[in-house]
Amino acid sequence: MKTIKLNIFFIAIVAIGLQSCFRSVSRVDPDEQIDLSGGWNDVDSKMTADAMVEQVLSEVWLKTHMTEKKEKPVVIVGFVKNKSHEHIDAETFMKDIEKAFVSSQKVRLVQGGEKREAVRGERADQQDNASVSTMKKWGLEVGADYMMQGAINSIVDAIDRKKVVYYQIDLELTNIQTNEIVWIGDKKIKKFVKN
Amino acid sequence: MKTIKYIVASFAVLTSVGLNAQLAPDQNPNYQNSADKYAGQASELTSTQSTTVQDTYEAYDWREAKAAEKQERLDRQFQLRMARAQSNNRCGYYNNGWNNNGYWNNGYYNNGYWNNGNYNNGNWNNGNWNNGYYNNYPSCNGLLYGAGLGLGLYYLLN
Repeated sequence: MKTIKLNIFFIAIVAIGLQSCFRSVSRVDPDEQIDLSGGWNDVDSKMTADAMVEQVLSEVWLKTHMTEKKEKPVVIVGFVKNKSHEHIDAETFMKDIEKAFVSSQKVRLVQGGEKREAVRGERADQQDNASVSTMKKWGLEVGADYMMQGAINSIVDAIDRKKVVYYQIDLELTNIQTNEIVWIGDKKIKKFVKN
Repeated sequence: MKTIKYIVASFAVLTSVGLNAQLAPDQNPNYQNSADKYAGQASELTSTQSTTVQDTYEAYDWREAKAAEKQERLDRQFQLRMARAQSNNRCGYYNNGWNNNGYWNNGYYNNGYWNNGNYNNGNWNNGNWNNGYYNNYPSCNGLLYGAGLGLGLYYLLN
């Protein structure tokens, strides 16, 4: 009887050991909140994007522009400076904001940076390779009215195994003609991490 | 001569009028200085558009600190093992790598404080502590020289 018990115990230990040797992967809903290390993650990015989209499309700068200019504002996305303690790529939430601009049809968006260079390269290529009727002309790009720029800051307060992390994400729209800041949006996230 | 002066003056007036006509209302007439300054830097200044400029700092994290401590310990142990393995020739007990592995020779005890003359003024270096007691183990060089000398004498005597 004792031998059987020992055998069962041994088999159970081996089974647990073998199970832990295999990696397990499963698909989860992208909206599901999973926090592992306490660092910046997809949930924070999504929260930031949602808050910023709501603020930028509902605040007064949009109405003012439409009243003054009688046309939709054109926005170009500048850089976001990450001054936090973690490596954070702002593109995850900036893309959500850009998508909201395009899908809401309230704000026009123009390309900037590397992608714009690529577009111009394609236009240059068309001058030699495309048919005359489809070839795109130089000097007809839409000039942006506003540039969106931002910063990510963080404050860490830690002692032994406890840590409080505070993130502040600020985005702002600057009128390219007048240099006037017409909108500032922010999202604050505070986390308490216990190791 | 007078005619030429009139022509030059009228040309200057027309030019200034023409330039002023290009200015928008309330536009700074010196705008061209700024335009010239930034025209050459445009591609450089726009290269970071749609990107994240990383300017991070290091903050304390318990897990990271633990991992770093562990790594440091492992590195130190590895270096000690390497030093012992290299000097595992039994030639010189006090030269076996333990005291010469970087730990005691890391700048702290060699920073001028311990090497400033106070402790090297002859009181502690007067031969009492350097009397051969701690250096009486044969070194590799001594053994080699002895062996060479022995062989030489052997051949000479034969």
